[in-house]
Amino acid sequence: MIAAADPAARAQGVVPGQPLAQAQALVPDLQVLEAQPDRDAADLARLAGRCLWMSPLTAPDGVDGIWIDASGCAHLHGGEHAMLGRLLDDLGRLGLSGRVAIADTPGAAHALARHGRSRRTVLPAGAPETMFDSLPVEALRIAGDTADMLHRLGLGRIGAVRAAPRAPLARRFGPLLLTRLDQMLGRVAEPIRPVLAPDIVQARRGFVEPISTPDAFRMVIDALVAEVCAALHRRGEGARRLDLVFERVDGTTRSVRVGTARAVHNPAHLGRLLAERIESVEPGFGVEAMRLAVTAAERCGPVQDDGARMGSGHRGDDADLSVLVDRLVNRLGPERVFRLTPVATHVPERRQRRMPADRAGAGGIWSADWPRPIRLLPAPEPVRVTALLPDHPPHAFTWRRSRHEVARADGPERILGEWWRPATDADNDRVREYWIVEDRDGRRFWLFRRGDGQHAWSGDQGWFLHGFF
Amino acid sequence: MTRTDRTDMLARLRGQIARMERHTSRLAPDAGWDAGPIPWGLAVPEIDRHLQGGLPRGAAHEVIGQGGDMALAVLPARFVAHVLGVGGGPVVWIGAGLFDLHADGLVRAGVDPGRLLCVTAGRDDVLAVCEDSVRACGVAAVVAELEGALSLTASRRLQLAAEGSGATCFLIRRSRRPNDRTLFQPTASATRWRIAALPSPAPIAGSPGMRGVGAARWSMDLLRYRGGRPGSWIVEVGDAPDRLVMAAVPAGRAAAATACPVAGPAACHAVA
Repeated sequence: MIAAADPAARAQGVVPGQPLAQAQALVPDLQVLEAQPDRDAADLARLAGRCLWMSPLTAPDGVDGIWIDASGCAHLHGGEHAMLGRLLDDLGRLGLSGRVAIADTPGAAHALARHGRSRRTVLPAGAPETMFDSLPVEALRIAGDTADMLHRLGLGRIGAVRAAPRAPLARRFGPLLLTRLDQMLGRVAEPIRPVLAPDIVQARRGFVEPISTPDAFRMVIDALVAEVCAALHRRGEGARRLDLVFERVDGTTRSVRVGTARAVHNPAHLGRLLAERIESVEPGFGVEAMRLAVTAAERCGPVQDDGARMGSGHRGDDADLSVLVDRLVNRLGPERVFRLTPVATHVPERRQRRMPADRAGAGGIWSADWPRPIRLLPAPEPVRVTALLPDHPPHAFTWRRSRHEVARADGPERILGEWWRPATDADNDRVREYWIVEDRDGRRFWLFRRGDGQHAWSGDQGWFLHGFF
Repeated sequence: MTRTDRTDMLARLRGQIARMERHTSRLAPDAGWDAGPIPWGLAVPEIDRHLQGGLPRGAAHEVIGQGGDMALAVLPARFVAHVLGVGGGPVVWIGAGLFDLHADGLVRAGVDPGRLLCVTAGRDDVLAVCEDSVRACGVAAVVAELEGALSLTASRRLQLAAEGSGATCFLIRRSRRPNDRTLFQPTASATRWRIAALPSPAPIAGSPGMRGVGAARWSMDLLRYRGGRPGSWIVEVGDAPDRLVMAAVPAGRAAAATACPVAGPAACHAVA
């Protein structure tokens, strides 16, 4: 059976659907190639992926077409006509010829591309339904025998089908014919199932029976992760962000997203990150498919520490903590795993800033020229003091209902507020005078007095406890 | 069975037990690992001698404050910072709820804050996060601030995790109640320390009033030491910008009466 014929063969009378023997009788030196529908489909999908340069949504259409959802894309290519021209040029460079059409619905575009009058058709938006009346019913994407039957009944044109009463048609030919007609005319929406960008690594598992237990999820995650990691490995890439989508029986989806501090293609690492998030997924009545997609990937070296060196004594400052950071971040949240970076200020409570640990670039130069406490209260707490002289540290202070007699004291160290911020900020004291005091038990505290003791503008002379040595 | 046979057999059995206890996860015994890693020295010769080189790595160590410091655990944190400053490597510091470490204070104690990966976990999560961190690859030390009691089982898990990975785990035990006895219940940790503040000597002998603070003085009690004797020292804490130094000083207190020889008074003032 002839599956397809090139223009030269067609000129000799060879048409698709002919038995091969008949064709060879017509053209004795006919060049015959075995049809490979699987490879054709794969190539078509690849071609659809290539067309992503035009629009983010493309999909193969049947065995011989490609849908491109051009909504909102035409202006990027200089209008719809110019866009089609560029598309044909691009196909021409690949050695392909084609027919292109733009219409309001995928069905209409399909029909016009195959049965339109010219190679390039642009149907203006909101064209009347009568535009399609002259097209043959084959344009409706219906089975060949249905089309034959319609021709025999005298309904060979779409216009005739459109004008015919619907109920007998549906009874005679089934619902598909009318559905196709409605899809073409835009009465029924027809989503196209887009191909994904070819550079997304993903894996999917569908299940015969819906699953809902964490153990089952874990097994599927292991399988998906292994598949994805193998694909990443082949490409020399690692995942930075993964989306695990649970397709539930009721048609809704639940998803889990995990991020990594650096590109990872280690199955154990990724599997553990995902498995720890299972609890946050409600399975509902069950999950019938799971899909794992790498939504952000980066190049990474082929060798990655897989934890097997644990305990081998290999540890240095450059040791890679990213595995741990990822686990902690995904478990506790990014704001609870951090590194400290210095801030150029003298105000102690503003001296350090928390940097997300999963972001590179943390770190800085630390220097401490003066004694500083190891623990600092998040905000200075007022204390009641017994002070004799304004220039001296207190003799005793009471903090959180316990009284400390001061045995030794050192100070004051004057720390000025941040002049570049308004002094009206509640946390921006003009002047603080810090004292290191030791109580009778030998415990050491960091107290300060607000103000320099002379000028009212500098502070109200209140005493505060700020840290512990 | 002769006497030497019996001794041999005992030695063999002891060796077997030691091998079992040391765990099979230690890789490559032929790579010089059978001797165990170098202990984590405290940079105080007397104490290091007592500990046969320092705190064992790949083990859990508890540090407890005393009296009012049990709630805040200031000196335990200071002690751990000092220990971290002696050794190198990345550190995970897990705070319970609040994270109140002051980076400048760490710098003064000799620790580069850049080495720290800081985590604030809920009070119930601390142990789990701690265990995960201990098991993680590439961590030299994990410091966890634990509030309240620590069960024998939980401490055994941590100790085993540390033995398996080789990371050293420091547990800063805190309690809202002063002198909480539950902190002193038996656990599986390798050592337990109690650090308490002592009144410091006058910075300059005979200086009047409360002018100036000198070197801080701590009493360090090694309450529990698996495979060794407890000990007690009084140390002075010099405050150098880069590296903090501790020196054992002769104690006027009976607590210092231990097997370790104490340094002379000249040593202590050379530090401050």
